[in-house]
Amino acid sequence: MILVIGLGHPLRRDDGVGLWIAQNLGEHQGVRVLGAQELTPELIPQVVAADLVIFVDARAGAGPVRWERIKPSSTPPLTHTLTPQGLLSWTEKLFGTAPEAWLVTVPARDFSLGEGFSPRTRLAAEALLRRLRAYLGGEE
Amino acid sequence: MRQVRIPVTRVEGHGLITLHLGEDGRVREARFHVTEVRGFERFCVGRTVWEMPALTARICGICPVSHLLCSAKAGDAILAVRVPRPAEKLRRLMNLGQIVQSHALSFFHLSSADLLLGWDADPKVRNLFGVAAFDRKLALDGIRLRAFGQEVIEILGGKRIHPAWAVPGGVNQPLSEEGRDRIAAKLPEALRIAQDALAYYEEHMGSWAEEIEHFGKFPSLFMALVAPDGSWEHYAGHIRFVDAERRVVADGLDPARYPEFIGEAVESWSYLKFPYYKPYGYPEGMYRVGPLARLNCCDRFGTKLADEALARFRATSGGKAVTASFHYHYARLIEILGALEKIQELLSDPEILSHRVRAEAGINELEGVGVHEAPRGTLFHHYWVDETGVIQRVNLIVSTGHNNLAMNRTVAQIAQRWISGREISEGLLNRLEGGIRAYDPCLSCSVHAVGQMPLRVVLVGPQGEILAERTRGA
Repeated sequence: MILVIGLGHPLRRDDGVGLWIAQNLGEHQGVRVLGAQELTPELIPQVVAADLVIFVDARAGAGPVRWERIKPSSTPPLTHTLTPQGLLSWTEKLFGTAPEAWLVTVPARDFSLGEGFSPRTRLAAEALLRRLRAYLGGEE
Repeated sequence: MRQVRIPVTRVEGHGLITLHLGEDGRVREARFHVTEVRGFERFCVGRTVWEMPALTARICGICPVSHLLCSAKAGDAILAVRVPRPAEKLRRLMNLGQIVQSHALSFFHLSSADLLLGWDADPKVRNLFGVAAFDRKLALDGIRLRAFGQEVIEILGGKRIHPAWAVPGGVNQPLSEEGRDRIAAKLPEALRIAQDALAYYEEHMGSWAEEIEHFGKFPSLFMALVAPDGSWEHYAGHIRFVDAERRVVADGLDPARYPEFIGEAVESWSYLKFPYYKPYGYPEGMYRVGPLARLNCCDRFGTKLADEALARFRATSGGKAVTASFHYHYARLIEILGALEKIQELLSDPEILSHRVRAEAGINELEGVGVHEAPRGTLFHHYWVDETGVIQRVNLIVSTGHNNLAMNRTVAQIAQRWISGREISEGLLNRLEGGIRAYDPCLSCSVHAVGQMPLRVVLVGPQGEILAERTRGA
């Protein structure tokens, strides 16, 4: 099972790009999609049940969409600063194993209050959505 | 002893404790300073009453549901409507889910490390990881139980945090059959976890005897909502006060008339007010709210397993009120169990799937009070509006505020027992933190950072001189 976790705040413009991806990805066989404002320990049972986890989040700055293979962090994190690496770390410590995971970040520049993306983030998000749909649909 | 000006940071969620010594070197007074200022009562003015549930839910990321429901109830009063029965049942269901998830967070994620690993354990291991290394099943149970409570909220409100679901007049979305079945399917595991945790607590109580005796064990009043038949209540009913003997001091009080029996004192050293029971005056009118108070105030819980546990709980104090604040943990576990039983009852009620969930009305009253039991205690939202429903004034009395006097008394008791000379030891720091945490106060992040509550303790001499100071986790 592939687990896609889209992260972001829906009222902070570009920050909500991960959530937008999660909401628009659609259904694919063997894929579970979650949207979240923040990572919490309650996701651990779902993470450990996955063969692959893809985190999608906004990244402040320019450049292309980045795909980065991530591993559990070495330092146990606190609940209020739970990162994807930290979530993997919790999973590994509690279950003895953590799945393969990737962090996909979308360039973002406008984090002001409101809805809607800046033009560059919008284009990057739409391209990522097409690529993820192709990958999850078995076309890539 | 003179007043000392304490430098405080306004960084939200930092705790500061000052311990004031007398000439004999003994702790004469302890103060738990709350330094956060949020301003909701001011910036909500000018918004409409319909916006208030969604706005006030932002007060907290841990218990947004409590403010959401309480605000909707204040809106009900301004609309002068009785919400449809199915809507009330759905609101109850969400509040029970909230009680489960919040209590699970408090017990498993935040407090179990203290209970399992001891008060003198290294702070680096006094967190959920430490618990996992010691008892993996307990750690996982905590995660699963909290996930259950959050799923109840998500299924009803569409999301786990800040659902904009309850509105003046009812709720904006009924429960689907599929949603009901999803909750029901996970109930057996949640009930198993709750029973295991309760059994664990009862088995190990003896090893915490010293802490039970000194973590805020003193006579006080207790306040909670109770149902018309005297049973445990969390959504409606009336206010009851009992004393340390569990004698009813006042009963049948209309929650909307709270200014007649609750006064709010102000101290120069804290932003948090000090509510008290008016007929007894300040500070003699100190009372406690929350799980401990609800169990002390009610005649019975009203469900089988929770009532059996309540009988054992009361046996620890010979049938009188349980006055040890340490047992907030015990009360929390019993409430989780009872809340799960009540969720089971609600799910088996066919009306829970009804689509009649909202009463429509305009502005019919210019003032309204919403009251219900949040996980941490009785919550009051009081709004004044103009003819168009625009908010003119807001007063919020949050659960943590009710316990302010008791938390200060608890800090003093712990300091008197564990302070040694002029040293602020690690053990004292841990116990002060644990004593505050027993109340599960919602000072935003301050007690919700696992194992590392940003805490500063200052020891003040009889002339106001600072004798020692220790900070952790800031």
